[in-house]
Amino acid sequence: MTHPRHQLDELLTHPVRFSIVAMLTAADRAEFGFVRDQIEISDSMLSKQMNALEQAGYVKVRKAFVGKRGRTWLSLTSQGRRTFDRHLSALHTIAYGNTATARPLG
Amino acid sequence: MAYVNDVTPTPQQAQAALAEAATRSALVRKADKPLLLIPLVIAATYIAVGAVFALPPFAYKGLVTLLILGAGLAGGLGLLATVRAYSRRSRLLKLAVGIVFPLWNGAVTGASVVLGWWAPGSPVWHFTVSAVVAVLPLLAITALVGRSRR
Repeated sequence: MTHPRHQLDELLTHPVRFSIVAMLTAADRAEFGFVRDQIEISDSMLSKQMNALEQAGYVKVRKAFVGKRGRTWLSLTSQGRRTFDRHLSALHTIAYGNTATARPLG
Repeated sequence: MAYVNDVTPTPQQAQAALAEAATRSALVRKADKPLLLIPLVIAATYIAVGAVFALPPFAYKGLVTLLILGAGLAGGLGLLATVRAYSRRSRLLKLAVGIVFPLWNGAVTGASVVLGWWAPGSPVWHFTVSAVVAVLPLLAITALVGRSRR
């Protein structure tokens, strides 16, 4: 299995999930509302995709309260980071035909 | 899950995905820019308090000092409240503000006392100079983090 497509992660081939993880790869943590607004999706869509990513062990969800106001913070796990780096590397190979210049974004 | 990847993106689709990833990454780095101002607010507060201490005695000197400290605290917390995403470089900033600055500050204070820089009868501007030296790590880390990609 030498074709770079075999290095692609199925979960990350979904465009919304790809965008979420791409955003979180540069983040130590990001607020739920920030990710939702930047990717321009609904709360329910983000929740649904976050569930899938959380079940795969790619993201962590933490809730914190400032006074009475709750904030939900999302972050990438080290497994999620590794998977995304591998996925990006495969995309780079497909796009440019080599992996020499592939570099994680985070 | 390699076996399920039956559809290979075209090179153009892969390039578009890479561009999308770079754009999303940049958004996070842009979002925590206000965080870079926090060390500067602390530094400005510190230097302002040092400057007030260097002034000749006047009424309400203590109150003015408290007001400066209050304004600095409110400014820092206000900035913190606006941050909705923390990039990975923010860890460096936390380390600087939470650990390096207090340690360096303690060292500057200790050295000022031990070396007689703050001895009774010393010019009051000695305190201002010490305050400026104490905030150097904050300024350095802000410059460093501001230039970093992560």
